[in-house]
Amino acid sequence: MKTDDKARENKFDFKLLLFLIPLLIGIITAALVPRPVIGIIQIRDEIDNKMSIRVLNEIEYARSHPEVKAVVLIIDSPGGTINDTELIYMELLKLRETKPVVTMVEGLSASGSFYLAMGTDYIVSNPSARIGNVGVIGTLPSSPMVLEETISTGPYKLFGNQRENYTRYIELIKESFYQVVENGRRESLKLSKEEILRGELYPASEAVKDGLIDEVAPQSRAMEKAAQLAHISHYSMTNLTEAVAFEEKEEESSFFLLDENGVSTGYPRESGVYLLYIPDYGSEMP
Amino acid sequence: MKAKYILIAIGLFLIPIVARTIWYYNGIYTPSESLQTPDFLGLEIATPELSTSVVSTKSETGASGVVLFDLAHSNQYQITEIEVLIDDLKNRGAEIAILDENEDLSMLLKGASAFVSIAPTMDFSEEEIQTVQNFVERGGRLLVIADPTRSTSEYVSSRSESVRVANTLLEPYQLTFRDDYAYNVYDHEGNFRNIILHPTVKSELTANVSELVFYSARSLSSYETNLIAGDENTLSSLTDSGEDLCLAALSGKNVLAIGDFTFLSSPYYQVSDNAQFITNISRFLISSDRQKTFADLPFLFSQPIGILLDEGITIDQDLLDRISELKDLYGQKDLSVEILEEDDEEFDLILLGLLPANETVMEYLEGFDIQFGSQPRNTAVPQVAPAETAEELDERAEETAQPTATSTPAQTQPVLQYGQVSIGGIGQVSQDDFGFILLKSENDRTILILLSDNQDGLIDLLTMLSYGDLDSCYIESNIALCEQNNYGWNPTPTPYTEIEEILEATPAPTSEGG
Repeated sequence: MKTDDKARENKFDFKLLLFLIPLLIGIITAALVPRPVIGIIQIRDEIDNKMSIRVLNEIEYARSHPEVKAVVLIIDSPGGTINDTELIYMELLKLRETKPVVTMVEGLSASGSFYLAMGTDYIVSNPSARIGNVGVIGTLPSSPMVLEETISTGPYKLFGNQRENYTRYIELIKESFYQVVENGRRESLKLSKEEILRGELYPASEAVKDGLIDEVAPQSRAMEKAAQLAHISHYSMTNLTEAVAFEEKEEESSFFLLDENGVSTGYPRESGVYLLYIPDYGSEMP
Repeated sequence: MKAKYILIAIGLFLIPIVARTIWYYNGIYTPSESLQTPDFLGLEIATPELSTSVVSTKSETGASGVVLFDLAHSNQYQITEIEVLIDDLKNRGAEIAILDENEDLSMLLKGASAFVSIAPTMDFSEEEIQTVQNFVERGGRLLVIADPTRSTSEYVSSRSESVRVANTLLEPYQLTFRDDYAYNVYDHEGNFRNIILHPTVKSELTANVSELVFYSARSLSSYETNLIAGDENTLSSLTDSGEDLCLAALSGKNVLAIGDFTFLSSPYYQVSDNAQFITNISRFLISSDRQKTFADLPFLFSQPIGILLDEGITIDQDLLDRISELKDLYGQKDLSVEILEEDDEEFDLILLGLLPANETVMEYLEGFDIQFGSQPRNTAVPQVAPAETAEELDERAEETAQPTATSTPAQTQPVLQYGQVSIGGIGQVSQDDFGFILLKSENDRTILILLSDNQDGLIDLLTMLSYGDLDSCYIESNIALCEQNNYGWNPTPTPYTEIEEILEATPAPTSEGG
């Protein structure tokens, strides 16, 4: 009798174990299913080489980490150089092949930073933000010349090309900028090409009506939208700048030209081609 | 039974995994369809067609004149930037003069056929504006260019906006530059501010021009002839509206305003018909039908000067000294001066004639309303009565109606007294009191006739000519009366009251400064 009872107890224990062990293993294994993360990339300054290196690192992190299921690009920037803007834009498109990217415009998404917004799935904006300024600015290079102490091997070796070609180069970038807008907004876009290329900055509410952005809403809405596009819930958020722990080199010189008090003038320090919005251009040109 | 347990175990294993997955993940992300990059390779910006017009390289004879370029008003350009226009003018025989800061505009305009002011940023004085206005009234041509990219001077403390300064010159001619730039976002040459334009009227300035490209241009508000305009998409930055925006306009025959400078410079002059337009502008600047007046003294002449002496004039040292002074003066303008044995139409002419005028001198006086009250030395000069009053005309009409009442002119009309000179619009003066300088242009030459009743008087007139100063003379149109007396010419510049006492003229004369 005792033997039967003992056997029955063992059988019960065995059955319990048979259920508990897989459950425990299942629980442990389930822990390997990552909690989804929305990565945050911040573009809050001029888009220059320093920023592009940082952002490209963050995009690469988002792409290579499976727990990062979506990215929110927080923008408050006047734009910057064409090269750095294009680099980031192309990588954003590549990232979107696997993960959605949503833009949150906090204050200003002008020129180059608007270019970047066009590379994302959805654009949310603060009500008071300003959006647009599609276009290019550049300063013509010097007229061709020869220098006594500098020997070059062709008429354009020193200056690249004719000054007039530079105008067409800028026009070419403008056309590609328009295509970026057209591809980014598609049927949402209500403005004609000519209207867009006027280079106007629009208040967020008008930008929504014109189809330049999708929604005026708080930042949390951008997160929700990113989660919605990524089909995730109960996510966490990670600032990818901290995650990447990118060590920025001490910048010796500012992107912007500084005045005698060390305050930014808003004008680029170096001449070149920019997707940049310069507030009140011309009034205090250095 | 065993299988049942295994299934339950697997189920229990999966439950937490599935639960966690469902907790976090609701589906699978599918990329947007709009993941397209711009068609970078397909982008192309058309380059403009170069002009087929070639600016003239051959020297053209027949045309001449001085074109004065303003560099005295902190003008935002350099002469080297407009060498295409300069070369074309030179090839047409024009002389290029520069108005620098320390030079007198009125003096340089004396010999000029056109005045060109490009992007001035320092104010013109009231006197200068009046001088230019007088110049234009005499037939001189004025070209004013304002360009939004050449708007202010960086170096002059008293700088002004070019558009405002340029408008002070254009104000009398119903032309005003707007403080804007014109643009076209639909159809342009490489950039929205490089606008494509077309002539709106047929004129010498738009001959052979079908399309122009201006590179950043101001529009004009004009009540005159609009020469060049944009299409309906060419808008003013001031209002973002347009409709036949005027970019170049002509007021009357002599005042041209253009809203762009860049098209004159290299390489932009090569685009479309810009070079042809520059050629037309060049023609415009030197083809004025400018009437020389005494205000142009001493720069009345534009070709070699011949001096023709009347019979009875002896070539003495005094005369040669004066002619030598004239040679020095006009030598500075590369004009030769020489004494002619007989008239030569290749020369501008200074004729020295003694009064009473002989037949030869009288031929040159054709066209002037001037009569001499004496028998000429050759007795061939007709005597003409002074202007008739209305009563006299009525009386003569009655006489004509009564053919029987014949009478000789001498009996019915007062004969001009010996030594009296009758000048239309002035009246009678004594040739003893005055020497006369008469100016006319015919057959593309300038003829200046100096008349006095003695050789010393003629020499004094030549002296005044070499000084270019007729302040002591009374000037009516193209006739100058210069007072003389036993002590020579009156040097004071206020002869008018004295002259008026002498003159018997009824109309109040107007004077023109020399």
